[in-house]
Amino acid sequence: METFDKIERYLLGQLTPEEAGLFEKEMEADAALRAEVDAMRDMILSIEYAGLKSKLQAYKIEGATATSGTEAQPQQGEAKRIGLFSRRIIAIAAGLALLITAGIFALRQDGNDIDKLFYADPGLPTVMSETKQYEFYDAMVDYKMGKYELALEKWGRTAGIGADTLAYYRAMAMIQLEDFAGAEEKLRSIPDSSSLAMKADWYLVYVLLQSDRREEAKTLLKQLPDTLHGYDKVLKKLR
Amino acid sequence: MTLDSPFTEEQLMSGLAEQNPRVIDYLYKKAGPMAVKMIARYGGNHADAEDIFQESILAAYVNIKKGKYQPSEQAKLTTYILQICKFKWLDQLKSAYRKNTEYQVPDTDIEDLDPEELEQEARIQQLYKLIEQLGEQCKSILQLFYWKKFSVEKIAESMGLEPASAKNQKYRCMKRLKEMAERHT
Repeated sequence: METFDKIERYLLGQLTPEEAGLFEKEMEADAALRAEVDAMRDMILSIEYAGLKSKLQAYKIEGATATSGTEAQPQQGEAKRIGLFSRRIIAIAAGLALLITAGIFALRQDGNDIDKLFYADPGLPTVMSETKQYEFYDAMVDYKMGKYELALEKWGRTAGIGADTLAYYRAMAMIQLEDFAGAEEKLRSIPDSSSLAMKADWYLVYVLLQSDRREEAKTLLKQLPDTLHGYDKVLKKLR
Repeated sequence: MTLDSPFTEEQLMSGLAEQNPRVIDYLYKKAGPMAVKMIARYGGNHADAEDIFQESILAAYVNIKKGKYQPSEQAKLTTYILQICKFKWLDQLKSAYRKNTEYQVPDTDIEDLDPEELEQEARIQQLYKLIEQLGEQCKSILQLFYWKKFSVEKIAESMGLEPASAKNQKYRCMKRLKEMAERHT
C-alpha cells in the first residue's frame, strides 16, 4: 500500500518538487515501477473518463439543420432543454462566494414536458476545507449523488448555514422526490431580500405547473425578468 | 482567441482536460451542428450524430490528457473533434457494410485521422467498461476521490465509514480494477 500511496500522490501532484524529482529518478531505474505508474495513470484517467461521460449526458447538440451543405453556425436554436439562467446570470443571481460547477441536468430525468423546460440545480461544490458548515456540504454530496432523501434528512438537522440557502436546497431535493407541496412551502419561505429569491421563484413556477396551477404560475412568471434563459418557452407553454 | 471564440486554443484544450462546463458547452454549440451536418451527408441522423459527437469529445479528452494532442491556431480543437467524428462514423458505416460489399469511404472536406490516434482511447474505454463491473460502493468511492476530488475524510463521512476504512476500500477497489485489467490484456 505504501508504493500505491506514493504513486497516487505523484500522479495527483501531491508530492513536493523534491519528492517528485526523487520519485522520477526511482522510476528511471525501475521498469516495474514505471509500469505500475502507467497502469495507475490509466486507471485514474478511466475514472475521470467515466465522470466526463456521465456529465456529457446532459449536453445536446442544439439548432442544427441537416439539410444544407453550407457552413454550420453555432446557434442557440431550438433547445431540447432550456437553461434556467445563462451561466453569467447564475453567477450573479446566486450571489454566493461559491461557484456552481457541477453538470446541469433536466429537472427530472424521466419527467414530463414541463421538466424539459427547467434545469435541475446542480448543487454547490463541496469545499473540502470547509468545516464550519460540514453537515450542509455533507448533505450536498448526497444531493449530487441523487440521494435526495438522505440529503433532506441531513439538511433537516443542519445549523450554521443561512436559512434561505437551506430552504432552497431542501426544496430542490423535495422537487426531485416529487414532494411539490413541501417544496412550495420551502421556496415561499425564502425572503425577497435573499440572493436566492429569483431562483426560488423560478422553481416555484415549476412547482405550480406541476401542481396544475397554471394561472398562479403565469402570474408569478410575469414578475420575473424576461431575460431569464428559457423564460419565453415557459411563457409559451403557459399560453 | 478569435472573433467568434471566447477561448484561445490553449484554453479550450486545458478546459476540456479539466471538464470545464463552459468549454464543453462551447464545443457542443460550435462543433456539434457541424458534426450533425457531416454525419447527415453520410446517411446518419441527429441521434447518430449525438452519439458520435459524444464519443469524439471523449476521445479528444483522452488524447489531450495523454499528451497526444497539441493545440495550435492552425489545428483547432473543434476541427480535431470533427476529424474524430468523421473517423468514427465512417468506421461504423464500414463495419455495417463490410458484410455485403466493399465499401468505399466517401470524400469529405475534413482530413482523415490517423487511426493510431485513437488507440489510447481504446485502452481507456476498456478500463471504463471494467469500472462498470465494480460494485456500486467501489464505483462511488473511486469517482468521488479521483473525479470529484473529494478528500478521503469527506467520502468516509458521507458514506458512514471511518476514514481508514474508506482509504482501505479505495485501495482495494483500485487493486481489483488493476487485476481485472491485467486479465483483459
